[in-house]
Parts: sequence; C-alpha cells; structure tokens
Amino acid sequence: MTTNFTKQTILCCTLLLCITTTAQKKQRLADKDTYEWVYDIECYGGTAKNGYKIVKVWSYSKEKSVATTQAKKNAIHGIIFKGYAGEGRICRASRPLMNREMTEEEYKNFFKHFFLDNGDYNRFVTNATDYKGVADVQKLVRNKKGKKEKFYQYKIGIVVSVASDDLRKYLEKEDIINSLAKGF
Amino acid sequence: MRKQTFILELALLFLTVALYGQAKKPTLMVVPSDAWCNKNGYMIEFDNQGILTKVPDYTKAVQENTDLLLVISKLNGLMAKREFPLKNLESVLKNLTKDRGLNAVRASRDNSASVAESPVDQIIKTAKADIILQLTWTVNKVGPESSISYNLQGLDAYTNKQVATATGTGLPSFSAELPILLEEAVEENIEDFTYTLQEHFDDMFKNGREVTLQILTWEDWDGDLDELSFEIEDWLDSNTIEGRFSTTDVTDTYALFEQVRIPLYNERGRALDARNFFRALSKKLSSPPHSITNKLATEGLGKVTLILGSK
Repeated sequence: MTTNFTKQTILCCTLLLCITTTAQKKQRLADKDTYEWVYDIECYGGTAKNGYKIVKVWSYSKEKSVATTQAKKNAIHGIIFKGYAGEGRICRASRPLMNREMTEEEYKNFFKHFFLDNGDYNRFVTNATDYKGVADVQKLVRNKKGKKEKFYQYKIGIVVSVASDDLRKYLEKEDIINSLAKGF
Repeated sequence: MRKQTFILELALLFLTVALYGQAKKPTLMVVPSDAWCNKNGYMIEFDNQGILTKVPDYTKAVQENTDLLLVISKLNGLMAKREFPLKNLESVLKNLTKDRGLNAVRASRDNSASVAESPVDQIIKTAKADIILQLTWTVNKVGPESSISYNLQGLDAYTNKQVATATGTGLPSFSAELPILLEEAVEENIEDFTYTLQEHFDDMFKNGREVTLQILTWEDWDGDLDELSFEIEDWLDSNTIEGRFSTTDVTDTYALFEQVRIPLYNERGRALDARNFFRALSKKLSSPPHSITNKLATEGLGKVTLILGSK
C-alpha cells in the first residue's frame, strides 16, 4: 500500500516537473526570439493618446499562450530597437528610441534584467486586446517535398499599448539611451 | 609624499572635470517664419535706402494670433519635458522693450551720464537664439475637409544650416477645429524633430562645434589680409578639430572662414565657445611679429568677427 502511494507521488512529481520544464523551455525559446529580434511590429492606427503608442506585434511560438505573453516584451523591444514603418497619413512611422551604439555586452546585460518575466518592462506596456478576442492567430505549416503539410508554429498578432514617453524617460535615467540635453 | 601628491593631482583633475565637464548649451527659440508672417499680415514695411523692405513683426504676431501662441506653448512644453526648455519669443520681446525703456531713463548718480549704447548694440539687441526653430503651417481646404501642413525647421544662427526638421500633413477632418489640428500636428512631429536635433548634437560632440570666423579691417589699416590669411589658415589648421575649416572668401580687406570645427572643451576641461576659442588667435595677431591691434566681436556661441587695425 505504502509502496503504491510512494510510486504515485514520484510519478506525479516527475510529471509536474516535466510540465514545468517544458513551459520554462518554451518561455526561454520565446525570450531567445525576442533577444534575436524574431518578431514583427507594425503601426496600429493613429488613435493613441499623447505619450503612448498602439502597435500590433506578431510573435511566433508553438504555444498560443507563450506568444501572447511574449507580445508585450516584443512590443517594448520593438519600440526601443526597431521602430516601425507608418502608413502614410493614417499612421505615422516611429523611429527606435535607441540613439547610440550599444555593445553586445551592454545589450546582453540590459536584456537580462529589463526583460525578466517580472522585469521593469511590464511598467510600460498593457494589452490592448485579449488573444481570445480579436487577436490574429495564424497557423504556420512546413511543407516538405512529397510529404503532408505539418504544423510548425503559431504566428499571433496582438495589439498592445506602450507608454513610450515614460519608457524613453526611464531609459534616459538608466543611461541606456542619450537624452537630448546629455552633455550640456 | 609622491603618492600623496599624485592622489591630490588626480582629485584636482576630477574636480575640474566635474566643474567644467558640461559643454555650453545652445539656446533654442520658436519663431514664426517670414512666409507665415507675410501670409497672415504680420510684416512691417520700411524704406531701406530707397528699397522697400519687409520684415516680420513678431510683436504684433504674438499679441494678435492665439493659434501661434498655442503652437509655441505646446512646443515649449514638449521640449521642456525633454529637459531642453526653449526661450519664449513673447517673453524675450517683452524683456527687450522693458530693457530699452529702463536704459533710456537710467542716469549715473555722479554726473547724470546716460547708459552708453552704440548703433551696433542697438542692432544686436533683438530676439535671438543659437538655434532658431522656424515654424510654418498652412491650412488646406478640400471641400468641407480641412487639414494642416506643418513645417518646423531648426536653423543654426551662425552657420545658417538646417540642423533639425519635422514636416508633415495631418489627416483631413470634417469637424476638428484649427487649434486641435495644430496640437495634433505638433505632437505628431515632435519625435522626428528631436531625433534630428539629437543627431546634430551627437555630431557636435563627435566632431566639435561648427562656427564661423569673419575677419574685417578698419579703413585706416594698411596691412595685407590676403597675405595674412595664409598664416590664419595655418593657425586654424593646428587648432581646429582635425584641421577642419573652409576658407570661403579672402580679399585684401575681408576674409570668411566657415565650417570651422572647434573643440567643446579646452585643455583644462573648460567649456569653449567661439569667443574663447578665437581669443588665442586675436592674441597671436596682436603680439609680435604681427603686432596687429584687433577687436574681437562675438555673436552668440558660434560666430566671431575679428576687426584688424584698432580696437
């Protein structure tokens, strides 16, 4: 009886550990994608109020929920490092906030701390929509010659709102980007 | 003992950098463009030696046009948020009028002498800044729809170069009022403007401040500036950053050197402007073997005029 209970407990623990490890691995992969700029960011209308930007971020993952949470990180990363093209007069282009050369080491350190799951990036971004609602979900497939199409990963487009003015001020204060008055 | 002296020297060096480590900050001011003033009827006409000349009347513009005040106020606010407050045109104009009035009634207690003011003083006492933010907007109307075309240019007062810009036309609207369209235009364009201005400052920190040196001669000076200009060029070559300058004009009586790149700090770490920088040239010319008495006149951070012959 006792042996049975011990076996069940060990089995449960192993299963739980496997699930946690898999989830962590997927999150790590998603973070790696952000680190390597594997996402797309685009302008989403010109309705954001002063000091904010509304953007649509396309993230890639095998797991829908991971792509959704990663959208916030990608949006912040995109506003800092990528910027986005506009759509004529409907939506203005945005330049990246980064205005100096960053060394690989600086980038690595900044990324490691700022983009932690509970890191400071959270202060500047909110989901404008819920992925169960109006988010765009696309299934990406791989098509090998003569073989059946196989699911590869999701491409999920989420609309998020970024407090870009506050983010700029934060980065200036932390000496990540140069302020206009720096040096004077 | 030697170690203590070294530490003391190191501490003094840090103190010097801490005290003088900041470059001289240029002043910025928003001014409506001549085209805008002309279109909106804010020009003064006067007879300039037989030629009818028009100049913008900024005082009338800020007193009468509330849209202009709104745009200036909005721009001042957004730039202040970026730790770069601007000079306010209206306040500068009021201050100039007040100073003019005060100087006119001032008298010395001993002999009732009035404040000395040369014709040159009167000319230079105008509303000015190191970088002028020249503003133009036009209202476009297509049927019932209105939109705003907006143009903000950052012009360096000494090199006459455009150092920053933001232009664009907003979305047409049926119902939005002009002040709202203007506010939107300012907000939409400020990012582009500060980005290009930042690029200008980055270039300045990397390659030095770009200034202009003008050399004039008094009528009674009997030297040859054409010949002297080669020595001035040698001095500029040795003292500017990477010997960067352009000789624009040289005659017997006049020389103009543009795109002169001067360092932002001297060897002691003290912030430099054109006046401090060219003081060494003025001293060199006034001492043997040249012994040319000269007058050094300054215009803001970036323009110097040396007048050879006397003070």
